Amino acid sequence: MRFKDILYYSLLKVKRNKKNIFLFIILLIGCLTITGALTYKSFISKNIEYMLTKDLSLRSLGAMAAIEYEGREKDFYNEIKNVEHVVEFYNKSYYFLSAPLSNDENKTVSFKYGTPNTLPKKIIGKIINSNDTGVAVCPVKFKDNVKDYYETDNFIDGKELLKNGISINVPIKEKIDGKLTFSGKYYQKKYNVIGLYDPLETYDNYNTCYISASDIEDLYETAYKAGNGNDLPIAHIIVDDLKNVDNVMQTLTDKGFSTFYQGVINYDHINEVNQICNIIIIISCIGIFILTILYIKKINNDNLQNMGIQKAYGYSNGNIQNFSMCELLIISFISIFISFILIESCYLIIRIFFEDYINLKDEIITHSMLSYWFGFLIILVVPIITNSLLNLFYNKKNAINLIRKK
Amino acid sequence: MKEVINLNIEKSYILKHKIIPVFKDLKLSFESGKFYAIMGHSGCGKSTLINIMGLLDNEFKGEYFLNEKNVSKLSNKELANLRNKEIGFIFQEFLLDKYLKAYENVIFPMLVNKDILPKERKKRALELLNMLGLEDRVNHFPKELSGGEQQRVAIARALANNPNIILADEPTGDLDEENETKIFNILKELSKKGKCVIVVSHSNEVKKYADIVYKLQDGKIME
Repeated sequence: MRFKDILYYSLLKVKRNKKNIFLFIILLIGCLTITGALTYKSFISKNIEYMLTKDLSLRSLGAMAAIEYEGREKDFYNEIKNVEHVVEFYNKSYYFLSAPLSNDENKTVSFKYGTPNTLPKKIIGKIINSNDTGVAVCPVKFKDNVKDYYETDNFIDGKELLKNGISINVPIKEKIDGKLTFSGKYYQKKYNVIGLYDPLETYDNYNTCYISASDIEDLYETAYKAGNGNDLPIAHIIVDDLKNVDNVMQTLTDKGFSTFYQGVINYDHINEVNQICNIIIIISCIGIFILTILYIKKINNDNLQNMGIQKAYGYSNGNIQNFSMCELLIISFISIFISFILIESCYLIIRIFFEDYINLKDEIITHSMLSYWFGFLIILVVPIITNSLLNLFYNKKNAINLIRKK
Repeated sequence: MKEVINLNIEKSYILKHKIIPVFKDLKLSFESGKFYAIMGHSGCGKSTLINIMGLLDNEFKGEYFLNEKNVSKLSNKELANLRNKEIGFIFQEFLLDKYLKAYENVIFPMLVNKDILPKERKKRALELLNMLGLEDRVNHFPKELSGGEQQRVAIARALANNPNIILADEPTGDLDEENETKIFNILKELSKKGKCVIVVSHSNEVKKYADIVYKLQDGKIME
């Protein structure tokens, strides 16, 4: 029998048999569920992979001095300096400061400690050198008010910042009789923006700029120190490599310092999510298998007499199986095609309409082709297997028994 | 007139370790150009006989010659090929594919016949349907046809590969009197055109059309 004939008549029957919609829906939902769960797992895995290489906080520790270092900040920092694999350390108070902009006190910029070890790896323009002052590296798309996070028209093009710089106006507070009050003075400074970076690369907010170590120290000491107590010093420490973080932590702990991770990946939560995805995939596969068997069995039972006639007219078991297989594969391919369109549409919608709300790089929220292939493979393989198994049963029956539905 | 079927067979079933004989020394022959009726009470083995003649049941003792070929020695593939080219079946319940139009149902047996070219199939199907008065029904689905029309489509399908033998098992069982007459007339015409038409029927009407009536009783044939 010609393949063209099998294909032609199978297409006709698929089109005309409205009951095929049930199998199509089963396979479509199965495909979407499996592909969706695999894509989500891939997304989490890529996100972690990305964070491990790009998120500086995962290589950062905090260490609080032991009581004997009270008033001996220099000695505390010297201890840290001598720890192997430590590439940078500074007063934790200098790590991150928020300052109101001079043109609108409701809008803020966040400053981070900018040194060669802490600056983003990819900067368009110039980097901050250790002797620099009055300069900043800011986001390519800057949002001056993170409270209006979902208002996408508040972005300022980084090129505007390169032209105009960024100015702050911080009210200086002082402690009088133990109470923190406004001193009447302001800390005002303008920073020339000399470079731009992508905050999605470094997991920073859209309003985070990097300034030099001396500038951030100056800002803290002048405008913010009064608001903080004279506690034991806390250092912010950067380790050279992810694999050395635990060793450094242990060394600092052995020195009697109270140490903590700056950034931690919650693997328990991730494992939980992965397990849920795995369960969804397994249930979907089993569900598709059972529902497909039940559907094919029902269809074949309705089709027994037809199979009998085909045998009577000289069709071999192979011919009959080819027809039923072809019909199933056509439905599978349509399900695969539709699920592909739906998934791609979701990605497009996410990219076009929610791009500014998702603080993640494109390569993380992109889909994994492996997820597609696995989902599609299941949708193809399950009908083939179930049809073949059921045909082993029907092949043994002779034409007359089939016609009489025995 | 040419002898197309020559049978000399024994058939029995095994049921709960007991041997139940169906036919003992059954000798029959059928010629082309004749209309045969096989009658008998329920359970006498009419359908078993037609299954053997139609090469659908190969489990018997003895010999069966179809167009001078001993079919008891053929493989399943050879038997299927012979069925496709030499025998046309007609059943009581019509058994048309409900998802195929009338002419597509007629084409179906031609799909496994390499002697009919693909481009000739539709033309042949339309000719057969025209011959049976169904020229206005070629694009209709079975559910859109009456019982009589469906059986005529089934007859056209049986003729698709121009077989020498037509085997009809209770072809008018689901039809009214008027349609029964039409169907028997068609089968009679086919026998006049040289086909060997063998009809199994309960209906006494068939006797009016049959050239030879065989009565099957106690595993033997009474003419």
